[in-house]
Amino acid sequence: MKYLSEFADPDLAALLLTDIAETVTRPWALMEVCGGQTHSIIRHGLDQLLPAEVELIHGPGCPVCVTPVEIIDQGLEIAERHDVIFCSFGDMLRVPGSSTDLFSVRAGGGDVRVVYSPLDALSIAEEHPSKQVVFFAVGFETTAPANAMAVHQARDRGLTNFSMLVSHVLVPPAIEAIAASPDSRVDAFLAAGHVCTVMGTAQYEPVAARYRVPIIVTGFEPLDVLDGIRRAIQQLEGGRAEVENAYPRAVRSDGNTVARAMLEEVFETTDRDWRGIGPIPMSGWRLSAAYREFDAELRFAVHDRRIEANNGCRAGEVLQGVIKPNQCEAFGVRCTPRHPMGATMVSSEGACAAYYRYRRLGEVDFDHG
Amino acid sequence: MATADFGGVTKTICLVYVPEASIGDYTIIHAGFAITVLDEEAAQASLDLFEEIGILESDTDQATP
Amino acid sequence: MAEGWTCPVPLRDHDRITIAHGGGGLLTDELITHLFLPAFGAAASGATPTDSAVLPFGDQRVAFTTDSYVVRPLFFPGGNIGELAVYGTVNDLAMAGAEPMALSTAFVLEEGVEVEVLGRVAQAMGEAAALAGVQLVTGDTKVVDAGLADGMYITTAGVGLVPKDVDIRPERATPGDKVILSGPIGRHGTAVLSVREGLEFGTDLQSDCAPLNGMVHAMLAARPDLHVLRDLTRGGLASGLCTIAETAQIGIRYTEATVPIPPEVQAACGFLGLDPAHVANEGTMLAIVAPDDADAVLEAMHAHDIGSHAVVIGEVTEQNPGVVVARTPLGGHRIVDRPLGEQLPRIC
Repeated sequence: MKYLSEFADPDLAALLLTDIAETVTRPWALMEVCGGQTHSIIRHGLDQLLPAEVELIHGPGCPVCVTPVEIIDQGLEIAERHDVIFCSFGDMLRVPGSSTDLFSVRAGGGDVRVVYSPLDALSIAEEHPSKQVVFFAVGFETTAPANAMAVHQARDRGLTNFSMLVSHVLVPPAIEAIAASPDSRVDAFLAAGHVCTVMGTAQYEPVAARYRVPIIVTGFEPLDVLDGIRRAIQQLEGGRAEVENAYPRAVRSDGNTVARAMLEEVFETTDRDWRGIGPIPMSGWRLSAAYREFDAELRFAVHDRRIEANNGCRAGEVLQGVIKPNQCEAFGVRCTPRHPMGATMVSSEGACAAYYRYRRLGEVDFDHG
Repeated sequence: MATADFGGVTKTICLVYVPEASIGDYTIIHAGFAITVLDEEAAQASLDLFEEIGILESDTDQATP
Repeated sequence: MAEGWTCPVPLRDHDRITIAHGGGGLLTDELITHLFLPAFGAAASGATPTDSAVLPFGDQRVAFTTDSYVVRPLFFPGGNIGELAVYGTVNDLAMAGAEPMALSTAFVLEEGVEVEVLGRVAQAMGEAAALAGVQLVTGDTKVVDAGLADGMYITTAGVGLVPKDVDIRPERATPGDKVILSGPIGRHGTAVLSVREGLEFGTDLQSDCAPLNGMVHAMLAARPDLHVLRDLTRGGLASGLCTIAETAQIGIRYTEATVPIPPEVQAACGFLGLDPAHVANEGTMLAIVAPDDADAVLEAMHAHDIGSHAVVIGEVTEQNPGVVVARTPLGGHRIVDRPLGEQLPRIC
């Protein structure tokens, strides 16, 4: 497919890797914040191909991983109701709440449906006027325009049986929280390309300046990721700390102004708890006053559940890049993809699940490959 | 709403956020919505840049490849 | 700053069956290993992880297998539940090296399903059986209340005879063996998904639903001592390779660039967030053969339509026993796991 395969070209990848190897003179730790980038790195084995001095720390870029347990529990409570059709993106189904998950709710008779787009949930609402249709609006800024349009159309059409359980999280406050943390080892960030497609790049300027960290807006194909890394290393070696756009074909500095206008109208900023990290002020979106009637949390009056004490899961430290997954005592022992203790092991883009795939690998000789 | 071709499979998606889009444009799509039209000149410029890096590499490379 | 939260209940300890248990992946295996086999006790001493059980019968060996078909929708591009029900069981027999002889066909029908629909399915089964060269010799029909069975469920069981010089089972995979893939992957799953409600997308792609026994017969004629055969169904290429690697406790490494993937499969997997190696197939298989046999086996496969794209994708290794490793086009490598549970429900 045009504009995908060219950016996976192995020869160009080799050139970028050589350039990185020849530029780097000392160890650096880079954090990619987007689950799609984590996935690309693992899928192509990029971190094996980088010089040893370049360490990649997988950041909290997986909205599934960071959705607070309280919100999942609220979703589960709503989904269990007989008058509800609960719609969600597929990757939320296996994420554990305090005691169960959407898959199990479905097994128990709950009407839980996977949708590709929130507009599909809207259609379901129109087709089932006697049911309440709830859409689980989880995601970064990238999926927010879609969710905004769904609720905007619901209001336009006067739908009374559609609502959204909103758990949007914002990337710049998360990057700032990690950069500000005294335990942070991150020297530079690869910012999430499609988040910036929507929001632009201006929000990162103050973070780069205040914490002296290069922030490179990076895409998802192998060449994009390698180029993001290359530019980060160049800045670090050169003592610079700027926001740089390595994804110009999809990102403009002011983002998508039409989408941003809709987001302004439909959402307002709020404090948000990030699973495994904790509360980050003004790091999430909830429905604005004009759209509050579509807020599932209010419509169903679901109550906050209190979270019990830590069971030994260290996903939070992993998400912040403080420890690597294989430094957690439970890793691969009590905690595996089959028996996950935390969201970072459940989600295929989670750092722990990613590390698990490399855990067993010994020497692999591909000379004859 | 419009039809997007993902390289052999087609799907109906919403173009409300890319009012400037026209037939033949490449777009980035999330959750059924196009969020930007791909800047094809910028795409080519990026690829050219990567090639250039290679040329610079071989120019400065003293050892035999 | 880390927030505490409770340990999520592992899926294995759930007291209800979930859709994931039917995915053909790790959870299905758990059900077999931790529920069925212990419960069956001594009666399951002959049970096998392979597609067919091979049982001694006098001086012959009989291959015996069964499968249920619950695919939704009943008709999909390139096939239907009836063809699947015949080919799926024929293929399981062929994977033991057996010549399929006869199938039973049991129907669970939903009250209210149109007779015309059942007629089309039955017609397709007759044609499929004729193409595969098997007899449909016995069967059963039950009807359940409207709202159950999604139209219909079909279960087929099959028997066949295994030729004397044939010994095909995962344990025969030997370091140095070549791993052959018969054709492009991901077609069945993608075709079914394209008409699945809520996900519909437009494509010309058809399921690869087909009988493999004719091609296997030719492969055995060329080289009787094939080591392992496995058809790829739920769980895709990844499941097929992983099952062999785990059962035989050998390593498998393959080169991704050699695996034929139709562009439509790549595209659909791209926007659905699926790995083509996890997507179901219904007429595609693996063969693991001694290195000296690879060329002759490939030649036999290329002479058949469904094997025209057969290719060596990798080899069996001593290193990393039980693990499947793929070399990526960029030269890195990644471990290939089976899908955990239900990526694509009701695909077969």
